This record gives sequence, structure tokens and C-alpha cells, in this order.
Amino acid sequence: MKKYFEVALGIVTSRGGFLEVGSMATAAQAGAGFGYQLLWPILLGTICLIFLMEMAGRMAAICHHPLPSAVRERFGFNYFVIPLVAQSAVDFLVLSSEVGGMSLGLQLLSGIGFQWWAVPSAILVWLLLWKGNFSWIEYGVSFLGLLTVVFVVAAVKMKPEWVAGARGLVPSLPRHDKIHYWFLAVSILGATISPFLFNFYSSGAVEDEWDEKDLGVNRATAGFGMGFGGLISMAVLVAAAAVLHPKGMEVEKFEQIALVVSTPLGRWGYWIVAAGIFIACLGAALELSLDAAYVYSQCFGWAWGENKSARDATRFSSIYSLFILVSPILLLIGVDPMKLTMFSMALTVVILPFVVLPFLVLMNDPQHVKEHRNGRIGNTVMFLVIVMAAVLAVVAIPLEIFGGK
Amino acid sequence: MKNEQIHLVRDVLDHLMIDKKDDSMGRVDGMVIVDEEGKQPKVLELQGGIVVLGERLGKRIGRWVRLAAMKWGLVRGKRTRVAWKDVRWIEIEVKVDVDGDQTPALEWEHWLGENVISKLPRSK
Amino acid sequence: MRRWILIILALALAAAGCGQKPDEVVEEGSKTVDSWKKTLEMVCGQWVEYRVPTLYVKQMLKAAEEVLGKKLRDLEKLGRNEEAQRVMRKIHRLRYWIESHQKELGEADAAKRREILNAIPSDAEGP
Repeated sequence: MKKYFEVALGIVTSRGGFLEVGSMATAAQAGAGFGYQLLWPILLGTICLIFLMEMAGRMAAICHHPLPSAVRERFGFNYFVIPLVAQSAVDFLVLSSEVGGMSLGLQLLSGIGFQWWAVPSAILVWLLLWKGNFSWIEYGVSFLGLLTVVFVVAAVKMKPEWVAGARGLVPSLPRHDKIHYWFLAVSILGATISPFLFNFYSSGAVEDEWDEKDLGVNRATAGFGMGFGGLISMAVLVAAAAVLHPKGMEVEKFEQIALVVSTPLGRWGYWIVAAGIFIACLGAALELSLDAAYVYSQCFGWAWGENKSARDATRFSSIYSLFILVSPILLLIGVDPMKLTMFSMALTVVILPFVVLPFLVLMNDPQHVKEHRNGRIGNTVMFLVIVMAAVLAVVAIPLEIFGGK
Repeated sequence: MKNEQIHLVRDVLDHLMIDKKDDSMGRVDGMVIVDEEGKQPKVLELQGGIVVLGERLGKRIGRWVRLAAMKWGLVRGKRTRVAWKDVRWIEIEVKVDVDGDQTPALEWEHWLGENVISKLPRSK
Repeated sequence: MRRWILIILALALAAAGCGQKPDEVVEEGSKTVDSWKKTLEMVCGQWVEYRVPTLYVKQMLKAAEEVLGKKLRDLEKLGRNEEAQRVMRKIHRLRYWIESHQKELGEADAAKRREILNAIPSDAEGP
């Protein structure tokens, strides 16, 4: 019974970090601009993520070393310095976006401009990491983030065109605004297959002291948890497609996202979505801060762990403190949170090949995964993800320049 | 250690060093191999630290890192050195018979604890 | 190494220099003003029905003003382009509506709210 409860809790809370400012912004823009046509990158991204998360959890459970640590050991510092530098830049930008998302959630709740909330939001993130432990983040905040299920309720209430929605799950060519369409497709994939998600998941598996007995839990959590997160992302797109697209409305400001819930659900829907946005972005900000600290600590072999006190892992806690300290800067100098988010999602895609390629090697290395190596399906999926990631990395920046709005 | 083959690059380089108190003391960032004429080359010591990493990235970067470490570093660019004779076992981690607190490896860890963390509100 | 840096710099400069054509700027400006007009109609429509709080309407008006102001600046760079002038007039009308009603939102009762909603400029108005 305890095991089933653990699995259920894991599924419900593992979508924490999945639905965040990037996935909300890209899905809303996609739904408003192209109706149901861009459901397929969310589906594709979710399937890829499920495989990657399961592998990250499996490796951590077998060798008790998380992904960044294993990449450093297997590929050396000369290779690892590339994802280290790239991920530092992306983590900073995405963390700034998430603090922006938190601030916008608070703006929706209070009416006070988001820039006033940037520093208090960052302080809250820091306090939760400083005073809390891994369970708080894994269960507490993620559980509250279930408020984002309001997007699913809103989508269903709008009685969307299910047939058109089903067609949107299959890749199709855009009828207009071709460059913007592909920019959104790339951004959605970047928002979905975020390296911080599987770095965080594998480090969390080590913090939770997973071992071979937990492989079943890992599979269920990765599969159903990420599936659940993907479903909520799709709901954002479907709701935007049903509410905004018929009127030809584009999403240029994050505040417009509240309309996709207030239209079918009214005032209570507005308050819930505002709170949900705040909490979802808070969860993602916590994960991103920890991810930066995990990557640095595991790269250089420092003591690490959210369950450790700051005195027992001083460099680890200093890194996440530093990232959180600088996270409000871009917002305070006036960078638009929506533009920051779209830019950082496209950039996430650029570092994807550097993170996923070593993964393929590690999942076939008996030193790390013993007899739990990838089968043919796993390796095929990984190979396809690497090819896709390489293509996306090449086209992401030109699309950002010519197709980003 | 058992009399067995050790693949230095695969099994030692870049792996985590665990000291005699079971604490992490950084990674094996480099190794020194002694090559005396007429004798089998042998590993003299394992090295760790930012200066060692800088050298791995290239001569120019290595020089900049060394100068920066000497100017601003707590241990002025001193490397962590662990003699090969102090290596106890090698699995995914490298266990060494050394107290990490007595090496440069944990200087920043201690300094941050005493000068920054202790001045902030008490953590969990 | 130096050759690669020069190539990357050249590409970056080329990309930076690839500004939008005038008719693309006008088309984007037109889409933006139409989109925000419909957004404000939707927001105010829900506000009249008490489905969204007044603080949300204030935020949306402020957001609209910001976006429309930026589009206006982009269109002003096109000079005496006739189509650009037409879109700019639409933007000015909508911004005038925002400026006129921003301060009245707080005390608006149901009738006042409907009045504000009905005052949103339609496409037929003006030259």
C-alpha cells in the first residue's frame, strides 16, 4: 500500500517543473496563433522526456551517481566544460524567466506591477531552499502546483473541436506565418525537453536514495508523471485555441494567459489560474536553482544535497544562492518576461545535444548501469532524440532572429 | 589495493575522491606519471584543483587560471596532491587515505562556512 | 580560429541588418492593434459580467498601452507611408480610449462598465 501511495504521489508531484512559464507561454502563443496545429511538438517532446527521465532515474538508482556526475566521469572535464558553461547561461536565463513568472502570478493576484515582486519572489525561492529540504520541494510545492489542473478544466469547458485537436497531434505544415510556426515548434520542444528536468530528477533520485528496488517506481513516475505534465501543457494550448484563436487574438503579454481560464470559468477561474501560475513557476524556480548547484557541485566533486544543511555543503548552497541573487536583475532593468521566456526556451534547445549525446553512451555502459542497459527501443529513441536535438540546435537561433515576436 | 589492471583514464581520471572520513574532496583532475629511463612508468600522484583543470583546457587558459588563482584564490593556486600510495580502492569513486580537511581541496568549503554561511540566518 | 570568429560576426551583422520590410511592419502593426482591440473587448466584456476583477482590467490596459506604444514607434519610422498612417490612426484611437478610461475603472458600477466597453473604438470609426 505504501508503495502504491509513493508511486501515486510521485506521479502527481513529478510534473512539478514541467508546467512552468516557458511551457505556458509557448503553448498559449501556439494555441492563439495556430489553433490546435501545434499539439504535436508537445506530444513529441513529452514522449522524448518520458524516455529521458526514466533513463536518468534508472542510472541514478543503479550507480547512485546523477547524470552530471556520470557525464564528468565518463567524458572528462574537457567535454563537460561545454555543457557546464552553456547550462549556466541557460539556467540563469530560465531562472530569471521563472522568477518573472512568479512575479506575474503575484501581479495578477494583487494588481501590483511584476517588477515590484521580482526581489520578494527571489527571496522566497532562496528561503525555501535554505530552510526546507528535498521533500518540501518534491511534494509540498509540487502538490500545490496541481492548481494548474484548472487549465484542463477550462479546456474541457470550452468544448474544443476534438477532431481538430486529434489532427493537431500529427505534424503538419503551417498555413500562414511559416517561420513563426517553426519557431514556436522549436520553443515548445525546448520548453518540454529541458535538461534541467532530467538533471534535477536524477539528482533527486540520489537524494531520495533510490536503488534497484525503485526501478518500477521510477518507470511509473517518469511515464505517468511526465504524461500528466504533458496533458496540462496540451490543455493550455487547447484552451488558448478555443478562446483566443477564433477571435484572431495573439498572445504578446503573459497577462493574456489568464483569459483562457477566466472566459470559461469566470472569476474563481481567474484567481485559481493566477495562484497556479505563481506556484508552478515557484516550483520550477526551485528546481532550476538546485539544478545549477547540482551541476557545479557534481562537476567539481563538492559536497552536495538539498537535504544537507548549508554548513555541510557550503559551495553547493553558495551556488544556488548566487543564481537566485542575480535572477531578478533582468526583470528589474526592464526586460519583458514574455520575450525573456521565449528567448530562453529557444536557447535551451541549443544545449540539448551536448546533454543527450553522452546519455546514450552512459545508458549502455555496464560500469554505470550494470545489467540495466538500454534495450533496442531505448537506444533507438535516444538516437532519434539526438538527431532531432542536433537539427533543433542548428535552426533555433536563426528562427529566434527571424521568427520570434 | 588488489593486484589488478587499472584503466587510469576510464577508472581514475575525473572520478570523485573520497577521503578517509568518507567526505568528498573533489575530483581527480589530473595525474602525474613518472617516466624514469629503463623503468616502467608509474603514477606518482593524483592532483585536483582549478589550476589543474585550467591546464587541461590549454596552455593559454591554464596560464590565466593560474594567475587568477594566485591573485585571488584562497590557497594561491596550490594543487591538491594525493600520493598514489594513499589510494585505497577504485570503483566509481576513488577512496584515498588522506584527510581532506588537511588539503587545499576543502579550503573554499571551510572559508565559505566561516565567513558567509555563518553570517546568514540558520539553515535547516 | 580567427576565420571562424569573422564568419560568425559577419552572420550576426547580416542578421542584425536584416530589418523587416515596410509592408511587414505595417502588417504586424495592423495585426497587433486588431488583436489588442479584441483582447480589450474580451476583458471588458468579462469585467461587465463581473467575471474578472478590476485589477486585471487595469493590468491589461497598461499592457495594451505598452505594446501599442512600441508598435507606434516602429510605424513612425516609416514616415509618410499611407498604410502605416492608417494603422497609426487606429492605434491612436485605441490608446486614446485607454487613456480616457484608465482612471475611471475603480469606481465603475455595472452601467459605467458597459459604457466603457461600448466606447471601445470600432473599425468603422475615423478616416
